[in-house]
Amino acid sequence: MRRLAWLAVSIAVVCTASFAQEGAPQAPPTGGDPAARAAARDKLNATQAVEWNKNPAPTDPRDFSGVWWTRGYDRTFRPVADHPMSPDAAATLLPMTPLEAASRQHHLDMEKAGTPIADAPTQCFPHGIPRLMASPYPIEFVYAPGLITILHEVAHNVRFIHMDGKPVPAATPRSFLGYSVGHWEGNTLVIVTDHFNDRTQIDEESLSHGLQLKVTERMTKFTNKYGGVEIRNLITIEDPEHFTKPWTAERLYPWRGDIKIAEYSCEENNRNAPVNGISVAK
Amino acid sequence: MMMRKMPVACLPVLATMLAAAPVPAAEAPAASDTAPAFEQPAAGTTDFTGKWAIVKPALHLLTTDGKEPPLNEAGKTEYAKRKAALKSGDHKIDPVSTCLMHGIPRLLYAPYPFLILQTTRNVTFVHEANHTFRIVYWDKAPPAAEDVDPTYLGSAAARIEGKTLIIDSVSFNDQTWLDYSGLPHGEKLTVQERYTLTDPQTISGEVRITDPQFYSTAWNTRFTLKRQPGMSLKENVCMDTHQM
Repeated sequence: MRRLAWLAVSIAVVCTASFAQEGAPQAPPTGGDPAARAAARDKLNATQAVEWNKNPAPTDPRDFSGVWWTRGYDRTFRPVADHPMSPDAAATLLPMTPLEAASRQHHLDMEKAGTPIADAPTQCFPHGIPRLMASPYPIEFVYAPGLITILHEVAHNVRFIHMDGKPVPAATPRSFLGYSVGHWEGNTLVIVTDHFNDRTQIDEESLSHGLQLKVTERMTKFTNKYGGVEIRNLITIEDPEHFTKPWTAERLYPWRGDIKIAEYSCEENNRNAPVNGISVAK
Repeated sequence: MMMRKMPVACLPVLATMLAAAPVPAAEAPAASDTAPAFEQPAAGTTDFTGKWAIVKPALHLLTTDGKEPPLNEAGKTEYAKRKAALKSGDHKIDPVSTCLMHGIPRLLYAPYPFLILQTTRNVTFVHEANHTFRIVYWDKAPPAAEDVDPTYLGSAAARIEGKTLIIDSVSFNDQTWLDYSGLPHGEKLTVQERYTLTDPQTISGEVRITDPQFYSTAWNTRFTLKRQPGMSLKENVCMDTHQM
C-alpha cells in the first residue's frame, strides 16, 4: 500500500482499503508559541500553494474542472461565526429545535459511552449532503452540457448537479444524496438539493436531519493570500423539524493539480460495519 | 430498465430476460452561456459524452466468433470450480454478491446504464451499478503495472483514433470475475476496450482480454451500446439493497 494515513482515526471514517492518499495535506504545526505556529503555517501554506498549482487550476472563474481537496478534517458543521470559535463554542450558535437538541445530546452521550450511533457511511451507504462535502478525500468536477458531475474519492460517491434549467422532475425518489439543481449567479455556482431520505446525518459528530432537509450550496472560486486557488462552499441548511431557522456552514477546497482521484472500495474491508445500529471498530 | 433491480441470487434468470433495448431519439445538448460546459472535446474530435446502456447484458462472454474463451488448464480448473459453486447455490462465491466492484470488462456488461463524460482532461465512466465510476486520463499507455497498486478497475490510459475510443488497462487485482458466469483472471490481466461510434446513437464495442495465467491466447469479445436520451441514473446502493 502506497497510501499514508495522516488523519486521526475517527470512528466514522470507515471501511477503506486506501485510507488517504500519498501527498495528503500535512497537519498544521502544533506546539510552540502562537507566532511561531502561525509563521510555520504560513510557510507550509505558501509551499503547498506552489506545489499544488504546478499543474494549474483552470482560469475561468466558472470552471471548477479538475481535482480539489479540503485541508484536514472537521467532523462538525457549525454556523459561520464572525470570529474564530472552537466547535464546542460554535455549537451554541446552532438554531436547534428541542427535537434536535435532544437528538444531538443523545448522539454525544452514546459516543461518550463508547457506543456511537452508526452513521450511513459506516454501512457503505452514501454520506448524504452536506455530510459528504466535509469528507477529507479529494473530489473532481466534470462538466458536460447541462450537467456538472462531482466525483468523490470517498466510497465512490457521485453527485449530479443538473444545470439544464429544468425543475426537479415529478416523482423524484428520495435518496441519500438527494436531487441537485444548479445555476450560476455571477461566478458563484448555486446548488439546491432536496428529496433526501432521512438516513444520513448533517455531520459526523451529532447533527441530524429529517425529510424536509434542503441544502443550498454557494461555491465560488478564489485565490488565497498564498497564491493558491480554492473553492469556498457556503452551505445553508434548512430543516424546520431540526432547526428553527436556516444556518450556514463553510468548507474550503484547495486546488490539487498534483493528484488524481484514487479507487476506494468501502465494501471491501468494512471494519466499522455496525452491529445493532452501533458503530464497532474491528 | 426492468433488469436493474435484480437480486444477485436471481441473476441466472437474466439469461431468459435479455432483450434488445429500443432505439432512442437523438439527444439534444443543452449547453449555453448560463450553464457553460468547460474542457469539452475540440471540434472535430469524436465525442462519446452521453447516456449509454448495453443492448444485450451478458452473463457469459463468448469470443467474437461465438466460441468459448480459450481457457488454459488452470483457467478450466478455476472456472469449473466457480460454475459448480454457483450451480450448488453458493452465490456468495461471486464477488459482486458482497458489493465489490465488478471489474473490467464485467462492469460494461452489467444490466445498468452509465454515463460517458468526455473532456479534454480525461474520460469518465459513471455507472449506475453501485454508483461505480472510473476516471481514465488521456495518455499513450497506462503506467507500468509494477508502478501502481492493483485495483478492481485497473489503471488505464485512453486515446481516440478517428471514431474509436481506445482504453488500455493494466494492474487489476484478482478479486473480480470477467463475467457473471465466473470466467477467471489473474493480476497479469490486460484489457483493451475499443468503442467505435458507428452512428450518433450507437457504439460498437470490442474488448481484448490478455491473461497468460488463465488463457492460452488473447481473445476478443463484443458488445453494442445505445444512447439513452431520456434516462437518468438512479441512486443504486448495493449495500442497502444487496441487488447487483
